Amino acid sequence: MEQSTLDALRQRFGTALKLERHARQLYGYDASGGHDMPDAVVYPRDAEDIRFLVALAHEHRALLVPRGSGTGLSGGAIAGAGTITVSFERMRRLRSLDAARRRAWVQPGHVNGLLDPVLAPYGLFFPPDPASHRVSTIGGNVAENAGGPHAVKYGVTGQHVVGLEVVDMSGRTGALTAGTVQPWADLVSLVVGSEGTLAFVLAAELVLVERPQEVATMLISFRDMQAGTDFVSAIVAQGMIPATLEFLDRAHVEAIEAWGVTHYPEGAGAVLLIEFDGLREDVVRDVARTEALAAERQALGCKTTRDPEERESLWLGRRGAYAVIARYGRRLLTQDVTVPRQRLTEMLAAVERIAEDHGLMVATVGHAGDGNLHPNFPYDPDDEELSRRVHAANDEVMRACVALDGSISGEHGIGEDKLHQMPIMFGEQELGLMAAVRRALDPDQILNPGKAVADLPRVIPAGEARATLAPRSAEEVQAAVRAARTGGAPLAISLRELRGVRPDLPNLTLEAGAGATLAEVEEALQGTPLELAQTSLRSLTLADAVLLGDYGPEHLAAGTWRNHLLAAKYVTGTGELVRFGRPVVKNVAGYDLFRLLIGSRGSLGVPVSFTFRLLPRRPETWQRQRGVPAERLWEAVPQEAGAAFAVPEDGAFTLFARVRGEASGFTPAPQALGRLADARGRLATSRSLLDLALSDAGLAQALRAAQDPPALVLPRAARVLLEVPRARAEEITQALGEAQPLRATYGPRHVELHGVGALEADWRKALERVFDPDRVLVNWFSGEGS
Amino acid sequence: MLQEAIDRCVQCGFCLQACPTYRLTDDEEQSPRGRIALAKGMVRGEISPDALTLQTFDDCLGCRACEAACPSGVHYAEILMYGRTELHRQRRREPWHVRMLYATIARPGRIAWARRAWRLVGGIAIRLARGLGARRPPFGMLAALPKPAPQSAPKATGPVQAAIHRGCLMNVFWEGTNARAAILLRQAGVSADLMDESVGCCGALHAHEGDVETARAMARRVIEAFEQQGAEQIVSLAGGCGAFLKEYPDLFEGDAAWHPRAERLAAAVSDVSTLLAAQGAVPAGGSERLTYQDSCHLRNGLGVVAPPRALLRQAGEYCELPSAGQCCGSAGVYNLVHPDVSGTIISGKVEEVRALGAKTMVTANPGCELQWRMGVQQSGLDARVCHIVDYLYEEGLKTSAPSEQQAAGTPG
Repeated sequence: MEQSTLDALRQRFGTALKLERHARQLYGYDASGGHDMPDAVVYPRDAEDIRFLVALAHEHRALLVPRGSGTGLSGGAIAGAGTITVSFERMRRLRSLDAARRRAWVQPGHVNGLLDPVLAPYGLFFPPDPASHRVSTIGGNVAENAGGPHAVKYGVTGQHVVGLEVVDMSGRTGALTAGTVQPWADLVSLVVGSEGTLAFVLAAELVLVERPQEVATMLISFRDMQAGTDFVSAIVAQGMIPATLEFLDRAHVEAIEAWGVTHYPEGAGAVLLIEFDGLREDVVRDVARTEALAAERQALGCKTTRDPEERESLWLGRRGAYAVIARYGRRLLTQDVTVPRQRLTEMLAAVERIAEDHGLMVATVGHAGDGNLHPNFPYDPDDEELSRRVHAANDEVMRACVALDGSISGEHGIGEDKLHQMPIMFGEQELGLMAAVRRALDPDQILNPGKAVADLPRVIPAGEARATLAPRSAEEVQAAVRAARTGGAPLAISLRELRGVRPDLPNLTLEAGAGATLAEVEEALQGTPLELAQTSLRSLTLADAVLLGDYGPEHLAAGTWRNHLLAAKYVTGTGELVRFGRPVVKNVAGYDLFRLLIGSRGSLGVPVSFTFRLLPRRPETWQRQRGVPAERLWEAVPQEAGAAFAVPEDGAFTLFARVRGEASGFTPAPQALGRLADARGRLATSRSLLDLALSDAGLAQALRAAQDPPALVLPRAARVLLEVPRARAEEITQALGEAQPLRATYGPRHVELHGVGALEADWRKALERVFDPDRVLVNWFSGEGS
Repeated sequence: MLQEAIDRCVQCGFCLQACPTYRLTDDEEQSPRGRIALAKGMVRGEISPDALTLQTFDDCLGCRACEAACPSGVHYAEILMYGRTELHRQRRREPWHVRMLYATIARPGRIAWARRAWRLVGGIAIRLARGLGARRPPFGMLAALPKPAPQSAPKATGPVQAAIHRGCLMNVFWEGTNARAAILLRQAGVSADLMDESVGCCGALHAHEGDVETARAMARRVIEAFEQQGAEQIVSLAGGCGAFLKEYPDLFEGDAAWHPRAERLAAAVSDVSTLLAAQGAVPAGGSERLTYQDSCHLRNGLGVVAPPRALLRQAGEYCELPSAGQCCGSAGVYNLVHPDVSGTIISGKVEEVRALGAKTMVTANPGCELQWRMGVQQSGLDARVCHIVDYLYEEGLKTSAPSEQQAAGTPG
């Protein structure tokens, strides 16, 4: 690095800069085993420091590599010559905590595990718990879209991050939001899991979850792996979703015993660590069912504990599972493949066979509940022949998982370790599109180069161009887009012929054509114990619902589409037919270019099909509370409510809340439910649905500004939906002014009044230029349903 | 083996948040993983072992909390020893009082002389130091020392089961505590006796500062004396010394004559709380609210966590200090060399005790006791600090007949 660059750094950062060789060497490695050495290490403290670095990098042609605690397992934080490591170890603050709305803003250096002591007194927790969570940072978790054992029930990091404050590579600072107040496409999902290649994160808005009433941890052991994986399938088949469903093989059991933090039954060839949490009666029931199942299947041992200390010791063993294997060899190659749940046994068998073929020891641990396996190969890096065999086996494991329609990375990321294996999983069109997205947001390739997404040329396939109004296949959609492109006229298309619905019950997923309606999906799942826990209007097609980012009142419990969409196949405006995502819950290979479609209103591509996750259907019951004053609406909503709305009555509100549980409670009068359905169905008439993200004070203020009470209020956490005369809507948003923490948007098929941040608008332009440079996608999407 | 310890590390980083110096600095260079990587670089000749690079080994508290957090089983103590040996080789000049300390404890005769002198002038010295309002070491430390409270334990008559190693600082400033341990153990049915004063210091402080040669000479004296006494167990009232006795085999790696002897001694190392708890000793219960600070080496080196707590739970209203398992900043001579870091650590801990409302802080190591005394004195907290042996001695054991019978039933 040139002297002038170093001088500029020295002047700005003073003691928050390291240039000595020995110190730089400590910032060139992560937990993957790789190492290199950056030219400098800096510890920024705020946005200004980051913007300075971005400007400096442009001016002096330096590269920037963000780093948290360096616990990544794919080499994402490794930095070499020409780079400045940007360590977030001194940006560790919790910026704000709003316990009532269950949101927290934290800086990227905040250690994940240190959130818990802060949140516990409020009865809240942050579910993503990668094994490293005691030391890894939120910034690192966001970069990798970290998973962890609890992902099987609560989902991965991305599901719990709904806002980001970023500095992008043009040096601008801005906010990105997702979920209920998302102005356009899901840009948060694009940045989450991008492995620090698209923007610097300055702070993340986390979605917190109520601590479960009861937690029971079960340790069930079996003689061999087959019996263990069969048991996993049996649990899933019973429609139980435990909070964790972990799997350890014999080698791990023995190594953890040697570490001495916990003990397992003797002779165990496979151990499952299963945790149930939630309402006490649910936990008791699920534990009893699991215990019965264990007895029936002749488990070697079955132990249940509710003691926090004992639970901690059981988990300590599991969390150290990667590093304990270091007891078997000087170096460790850890894999991170994910397959559809019912293919787990096949995948394990493939791993065993591959290891045997190459004469290697393999120790496998995994998140069996979501099909995510970590085969670990211990070896000696100085033994060249052995290293070669390990890497060959590693490659074969990835091929085997892709053959089972899985992902080559469930939670560790691509980093630099798997960059060259990306073509196993993606075609040249997909690889080219991801590279183009990267170039659009970081044209000079300054941020973390050589990681996650390779700089490959765009491949736009030539082929038949034929205008088809109602295509029947992906290829026909592709041909129609090509025709529009060559003809120079915007695309006109209907997806009504793409409506096959294919549930995959053992995997708890469903694939459906983009033109299928939600009613058709519901029909296909009738009589099964599963449901798509997402309730947009039933008449909407999946394409409409997803591309609008529509959501029903049930978002309270189930979240918005981003929590349910697992994969999408679509045609871009340039005619590439691409498939991103897989029918698996954990998948961090490449950019998330499928959730990006949510809310994009058709301007990025024409969807052909989607894959969603399904959840066990549970009976539900309504509760009613009368006379709730406006300022108490937030807190009056039961914590576990899946849906809630309020109707004005005698100067106060009557609150209706839907909770999950045995269907025995109260059912709202048909006219009340009718109001809800009607308000959501009747659009753009004399009244309007105003969708606001508000604090308690903001809610009271909005109701005051509304003067005549709104017809309907849907309160909870970050969002309130008011039904007010249309003219009033604008007055309310203006009156709210500063009290409005995020921004206002309107319900489906409404005019958007919210001010989009400059950064979001610029990113939108940049991405639309990548996905649809000829602007053929501007008109096809009506969002009106088919 | 150093190489093995280095190779074991897969850089997972689980040690980071366990490390007191990392938590204070947020700097990889001040973390166990960073120190291991530096050792690796130096061993391979990629990094030169200059003073700047080695500084972090000096800054390390040596509490070994990282070892307890390490899934791979890295023996960090060896890496630290390597770093400290390199530092020593560079003849770094210690402050005068530290050099004086090393010179004194290196010879048993000097320790004995110091003990006698302290009996005479200790009281005055402490009063003088307090009167001067001394806060910083070494005088602040002097002000915090307990007043000399010698006690004699009658010599054991029969064969000795547990030999109590007197140590260096223990023998000078806590000589009464050593004797009280012997009395307590006998009450619980263990025939215990003090080792002779001519045995001297175990060598831990010298080894931890990198002077391995001197440490070996000192260790040989301990081994010989232990063999002559023919006891089953060797007990130290200082957690750091106990852990170091356990590591004697590492000190004599590759020494055909001494290594097996060191191994025999290491296998005999025990701890006073463990022995008492195993004998079923029951303290006469009080109602006082008390708390406990682990000795890092007792906890992380010897793995003694539960027995002292089990005893204290019966001795009063025991409440766990949230940071009990984290170093108090004493760390051998660390508080002499790095008073600032050490002071930051202890003042945070004193506030925890205040929040708990505990009236007594029980420790298991003289260094910790002194560090806590300084912390409590300087913050004006109304709490007493004492060694677990002194605490149990004062409270008294419910002398239980069964344990004596048990002891009688065990031959030897």
